[in-house]
Amino acid sequence: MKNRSLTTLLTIVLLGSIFVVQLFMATYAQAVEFPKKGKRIKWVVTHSPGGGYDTCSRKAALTMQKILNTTVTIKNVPGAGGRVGVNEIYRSKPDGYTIGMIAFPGMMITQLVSKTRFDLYKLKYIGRLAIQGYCLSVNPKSPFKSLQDLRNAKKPLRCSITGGGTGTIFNIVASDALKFPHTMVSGFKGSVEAIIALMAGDVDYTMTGSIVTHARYANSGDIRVLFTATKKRHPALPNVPAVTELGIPLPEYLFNMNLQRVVVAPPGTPDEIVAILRKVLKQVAEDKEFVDWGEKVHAGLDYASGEEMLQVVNNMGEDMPKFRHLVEPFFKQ
Amino acid sequence: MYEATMLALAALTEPIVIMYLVVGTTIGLIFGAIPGLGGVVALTLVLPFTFGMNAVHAMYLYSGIMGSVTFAGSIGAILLNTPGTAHNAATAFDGYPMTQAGHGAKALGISATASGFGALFGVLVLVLLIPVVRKIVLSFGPPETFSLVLFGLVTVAFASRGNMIKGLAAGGVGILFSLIGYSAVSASLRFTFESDYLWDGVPLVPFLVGLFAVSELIRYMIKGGSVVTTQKIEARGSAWEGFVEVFRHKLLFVRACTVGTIIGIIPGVGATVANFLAYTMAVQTCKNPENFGKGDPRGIIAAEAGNDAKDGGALLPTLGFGIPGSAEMVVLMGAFILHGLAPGPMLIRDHLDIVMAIILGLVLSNIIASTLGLLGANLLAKLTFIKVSYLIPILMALCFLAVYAIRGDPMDLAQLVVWGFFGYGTTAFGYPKVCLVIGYVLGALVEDNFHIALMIGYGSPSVFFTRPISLVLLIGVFLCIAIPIVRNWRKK
Repeated sequence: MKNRSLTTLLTIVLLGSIFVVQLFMATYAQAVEFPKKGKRIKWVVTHSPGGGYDTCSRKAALTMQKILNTTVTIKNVPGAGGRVGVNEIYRSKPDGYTIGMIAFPGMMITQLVSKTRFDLYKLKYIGRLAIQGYCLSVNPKSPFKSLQDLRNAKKPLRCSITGGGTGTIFNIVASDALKFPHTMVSGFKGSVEAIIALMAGDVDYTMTGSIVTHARYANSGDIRVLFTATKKRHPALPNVPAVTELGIPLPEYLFNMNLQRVVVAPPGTPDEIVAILRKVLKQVAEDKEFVDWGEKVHAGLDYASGEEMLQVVNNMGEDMPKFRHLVEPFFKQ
Repeated sequence: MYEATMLALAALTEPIVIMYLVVGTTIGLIFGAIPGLGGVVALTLVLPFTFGMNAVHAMYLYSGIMGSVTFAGSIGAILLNTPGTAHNAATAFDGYPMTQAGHGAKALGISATASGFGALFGVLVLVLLIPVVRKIVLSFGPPETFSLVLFGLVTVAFASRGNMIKGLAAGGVGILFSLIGYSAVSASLRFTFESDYLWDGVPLVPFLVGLFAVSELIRYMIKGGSVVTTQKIEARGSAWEGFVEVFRHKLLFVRACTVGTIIGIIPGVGATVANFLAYTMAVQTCKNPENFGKGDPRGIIAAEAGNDAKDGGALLPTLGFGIPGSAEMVVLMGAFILHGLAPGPMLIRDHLDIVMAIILGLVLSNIIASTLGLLGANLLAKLTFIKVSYLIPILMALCFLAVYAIRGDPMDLAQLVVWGFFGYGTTAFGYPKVCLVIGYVLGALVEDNFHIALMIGYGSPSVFFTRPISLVLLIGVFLCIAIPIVRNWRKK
């Protein structure tokens, strides 16, 4: 009698544990079954084809495709300075099959000063792929050769900005932090137009456009770069001092305002899938072909993990009230 | 320079490159002909597919598209009064009446010839002017652009010969539409009704397709019959006659090309203005101007020559400086970056073979497109004899499909319907749609440049008068308005 109940008990325990182990295995199998065979991942780009976000995304998507052995397709959703694209990502099904690249910190300011249908704090941050730094340039024929010259100017110096967007924010906040008389000339179609205005003498200085873009025009003698708004010298402009070398006090948040290309997933994407995506993005950032491409076109590749990016976002959120009054007039809708 | 040209030519000996060129030309022809699409859309759609291609191959593909689009747009303008792009709007003024009289094939022949040679002219000027591109581009800042665009707007009044008030009213409404959206100058949203859809303003492609294409198609459906209104069944005249006709007006052709090239060189002012200004110039400077608008071949010559010459001109600031000379150039520059080429002053120095590939591609594509146009003109013109009830549903479906393919936004399709009926109404009441589009296209340019110019001048309007080019243009504006008034007053 005792034997039979023991056998029964043991059988039940055995079956039960097999069942429980199976359950765990099933969950484990489900958790790593991303991406499923045959399903494609959609990578939303919040800007039009051909621009910096687009080219970086395309190269990264191709690399991701190689690593995951799954199709990764790009979808351009331009409009409203990136808002339409962010909306699309925000409202997509949070199953990991939609991710996107957004503009930071541009979109944060937009959310701060105007009504948006998205909440950047709710997005899942996969990681950052690249940073585009800024620098201050003047016309080569002008007498300005240093920051002190700018401070000694008798009339407010005119700065060309596009109006709306990360570049505009940077110009405004940095010009204020550098403490010289200035006035903004807003409305240029793009960074190239803003730089051309500088070359033509229509404005006195500009920080619109990446360091790489400025370097191109500096190398042909069309503009003079006074300093880069970064902590260290930039490889494209080795003879141009970084602003930190000028020995003036600058707010820390200024250095976080350089344009960052950040990859995100919709709010509610499960943590296991976010973890997988983060791991994959890190592999993309370390892929030799990707790195080589980045160096060749000066893409400014600078990987940061999703967790680090979340920290950057939260820090910026805390700092924004400090300069809100400066940018609000330019984003007031 | 010689070496680079040889390199670019050598690429053409590879069959795959010729294939890219032909494919590009074909895409350009199709996109150019379907109302509302045009070069920008074609280039944008093709761009992602070229990722990973050899740069020279890609350039032949792009230039293939750019070279054929401007001629293709005139097909719809001439045969159906529905220009493929706004760039060909002025071509319809005289092209369509010619079709209605049964001379459609001849009109197409004129357009093909004027387009082809016009493009060659533009490219020639491009090559000659590369050394001085910098000076030209740098002297055209916001104040000068404002004055030029204002000049363009004023000429709208002349384009509405006989109906100046309605023309100006349409232009005014166009300017009103251009105000919709986000203004970078004042950081404010205007008339967007709290939606993101209108944030960037009225989306151009559905607006144009609806206004020009859909409205005409509606009109045909109501009218019935077929496009050609004469009773004769044979198509009178042929494409070859059109070819010969262009050579009868050589001076006009050269003048129109010059206008087109200059407009092309100035960044930001695009092909719509080139097409239009060249036509207006012809009206102002030719004998018997009252024939324009009734099927005068000179109208087509001027419009199409101006419009194609602009391509060569627009490449100048793009290649030489990295400033896009037109909307197509914006996409082209994106293509450069995609292929690891840095647009800017260094492009000519470091990658002359790429530059020559584009130039050669443009020339060849234009020749191919124009030849195809000449050969196919008689056949295409027969389309206009088909009963409208067969033709229109197909074309209508094409329009909707094409617009949806661009963004997949159902609101774009709703726009087609709205603007379609709106356009039908404006024509029915005698308001020229072209003036509306000119107002729309130029309105944004005028406003933005005005404000930027003021900011450059620290708020003082003297900035427009102290800069020589701007001053000259403004005097031109004044004269344009004053001379007809004086003339009328003198008659009395």
